[in-house]
Amino acid sequence: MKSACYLAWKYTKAHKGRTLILIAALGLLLFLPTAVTLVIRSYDARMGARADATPMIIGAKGNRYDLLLQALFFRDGRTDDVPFGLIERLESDLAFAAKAVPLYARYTTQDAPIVGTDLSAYFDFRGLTIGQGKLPEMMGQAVLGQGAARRLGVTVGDTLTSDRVNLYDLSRTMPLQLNIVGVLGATNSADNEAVFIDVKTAWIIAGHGHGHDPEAHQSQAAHSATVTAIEITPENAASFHFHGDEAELPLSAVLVLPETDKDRTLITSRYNASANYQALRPAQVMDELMGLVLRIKKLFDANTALVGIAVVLLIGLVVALSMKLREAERKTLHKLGCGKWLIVQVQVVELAIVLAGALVIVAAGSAAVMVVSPMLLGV
Amino acid sequence: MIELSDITFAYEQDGFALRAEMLSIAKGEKIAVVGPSGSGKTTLLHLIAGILVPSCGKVQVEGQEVSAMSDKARRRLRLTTMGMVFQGIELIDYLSARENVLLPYRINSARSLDSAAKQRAEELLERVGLQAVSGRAASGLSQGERQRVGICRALVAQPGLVLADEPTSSLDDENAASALDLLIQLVDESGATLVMLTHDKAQLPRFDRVVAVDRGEVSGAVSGATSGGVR
Repeated sequence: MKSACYLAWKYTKAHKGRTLILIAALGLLLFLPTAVTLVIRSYDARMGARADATPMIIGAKGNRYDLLLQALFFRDGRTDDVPFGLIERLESDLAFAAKAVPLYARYTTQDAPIVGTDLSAYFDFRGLTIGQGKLPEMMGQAVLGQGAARRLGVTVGDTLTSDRVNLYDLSRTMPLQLNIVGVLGATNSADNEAVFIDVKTAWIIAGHGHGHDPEAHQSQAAHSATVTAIEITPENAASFHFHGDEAELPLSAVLVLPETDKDRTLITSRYNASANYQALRPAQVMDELMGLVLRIKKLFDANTALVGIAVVLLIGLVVALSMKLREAERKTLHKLGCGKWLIVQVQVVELAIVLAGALVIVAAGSAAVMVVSPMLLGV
Repeated sequence: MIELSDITFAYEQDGFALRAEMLSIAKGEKIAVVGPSGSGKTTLLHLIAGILVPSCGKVQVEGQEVSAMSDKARRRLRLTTMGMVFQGIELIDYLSARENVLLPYRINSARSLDSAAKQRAEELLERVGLQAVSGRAASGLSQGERQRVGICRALVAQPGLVLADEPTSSLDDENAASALDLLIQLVDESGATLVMLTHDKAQLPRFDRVVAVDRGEVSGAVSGATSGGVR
């Protein structure tokens, strides 16, 4: 075996290109399904944990997966809005006891989701703490998840501007400048990548409220023109207001925290029976969603298995051709006194070297996937 | 040293058969085996080496009956007592010249590749003028260089018996003469027995005896200093 190892190593070294191609082919073949499995497991664990930690979501009737992803991970799906008044209706209903946290997450800043909410209630519910700075004290102020702050390269005292919704529609509300007053401690969830503001600030971004610039009033008093403010400052903050009934202002979803299982059942039945709302148990919907993903993964696995068979056959062909090409070498070694199986042993060791190389690729790739996968979806 | 008695060997494919009634080769003798192509010279050499086994008769090397040994024992005998130079040179292309020379140590677990062996390999390579290319892969050597590496490989482990199958047939006259000079010189120095197949009649005086093979029949002629021959 020692001589087989020696010859195999020498052969491999002398044919580096061929060996590296085989290692890369085998490594990729093994890495792809491993990576997919790792990513799915990682997402399953992370998404499952967030869903498990969220007792209930109420949103507009429609696709429940969109609503789930919107409410838990702030992905702006095609869900309709629900009115802010739903919060009060939920909390004041005598049939059950529950707290409700508003969510309005339709906008972004440099692709980071802007989440309008009741900051104290949401942070309490998620167990989030301020790592640096403080909670917002007025409209126009924001607290960032640590990952978002790092990615956007900002910290307390800096500003961010909400992304313009439609570059070509000048009649739309102008982007709002957000003053960063706090950065959250690190979390392992979608909150880490989000920008949190008070729900009223989110409504201003949406154009449901506006302010009157005092300087504009002074200099252009004759016009009494209404100027949309792009920054909310202590000077103009009092001028910001919302027209119409606040209870009709929009939310993308409501996180509901029923006190008991009975309360949850009552709320579920009440809102699922309504024409406009749906109540979700996130863990249940997440299981369904992951079930779909796993079904797709099975197709991918079958495809990988077929490709794997093809690659194994090709490697078999390469080995067979190699043995044919090395027949003279086998005969020479036999004449010198080696066993007939030495070349077979040499090729087995060569395959072991290729396999070891491929496993190194799989290990390195898997480690990279484990590091990168949470960042890819921000879950 | 070597004794073949009443041997017959036949190839199944074409029915060619080799017969030898009696052939004795003493220790330290240099024997040339001559004969036309296809006469059975290589078969005779392979029978002595234990690569082939006669269908009847005995082949003895150093008192051991090769023809009665298992394949494993015959391989062990080749590894421990024989050095072989092949017609087609037959180096391992992906090994360097030095590694090819040291191959008998690498493939024989009974021999240890110590510094003395390495030094001997270097000395042999130096003597054949290949020290400068000793690290080069065999595939990058010329035919003459490859043949000299083959001779060094056959002799590095100081075998008692050197079997050479037309070692100069693929070389030009100049390289052939030089390779043969080297082989005989090194064999003389080591005191090994040499059995060499050749077509070159001009070289026959350099051997103690000449054995002729013709159409499968091994017969002998006396040549050189030592008397004896095929009986």
